[in-house]
Amino acid sequence: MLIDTAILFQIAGIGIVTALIHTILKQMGKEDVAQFISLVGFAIVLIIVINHLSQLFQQIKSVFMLQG
Amino acid sequence: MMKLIGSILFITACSWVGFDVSKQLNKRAHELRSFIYSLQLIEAEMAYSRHTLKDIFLNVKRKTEGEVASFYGRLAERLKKPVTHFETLWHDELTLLKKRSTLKDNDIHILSQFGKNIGNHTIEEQKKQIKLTVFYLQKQLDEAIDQKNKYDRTVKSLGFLFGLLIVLILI
Repeated sequence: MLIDTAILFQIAGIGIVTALIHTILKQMGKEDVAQFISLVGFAIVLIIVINHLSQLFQQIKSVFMLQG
Repeated sequence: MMKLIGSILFITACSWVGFDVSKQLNKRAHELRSFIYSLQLIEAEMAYSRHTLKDIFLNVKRKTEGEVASFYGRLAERLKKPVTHFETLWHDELTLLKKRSTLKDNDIHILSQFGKNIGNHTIEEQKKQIKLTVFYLQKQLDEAIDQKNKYDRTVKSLGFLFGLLIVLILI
């Protein structure tokens, strides 16, 4: 259970920091870079989430004995 | 525990990079300002005391500080030996200055343009050349100050935030 909350905080933190960087870069007038940073943040979060989703599917498979 | 120490070190390093970049922005404006001051000193020395270039550079070196002072110091040092072509000397020192200071290509170009005309004209012409160079440098200084105001604080916070982001990703 402890690991699950850690992952929540990690993803929330990445989101907040990416949003801050986006705002600052936009203020600097570098909107293209800001968009790129948002995209990178999104991709990183997606990779983390997909990893955990695949773990979840494996677990479901093993619970219902759908191996193979 | 090791994770915590590592994250703190990483964030500190990233923030440091941000602070360093903002320091360079500040330094460029400062160096441009002291170059303008040094050119005005040279004008005054040429017009009123009529020393040789070596003595003028030594005087300027005493009145400025940092990279600008050492630039004029090296020039005066090299002028102690007989020199056939002053322009190459000026150019050599400018390339060295470019490596050591935070000045950009444009600033160095303006200064090298000035070096071509030094000592080849009458006092009146020389004054005009100095005025022109000061005018160009003033433009560069305005731009540098503008950039400093624009980027100074954002660069600092960007460094810190990037550190935080990478730590969060890797944790």
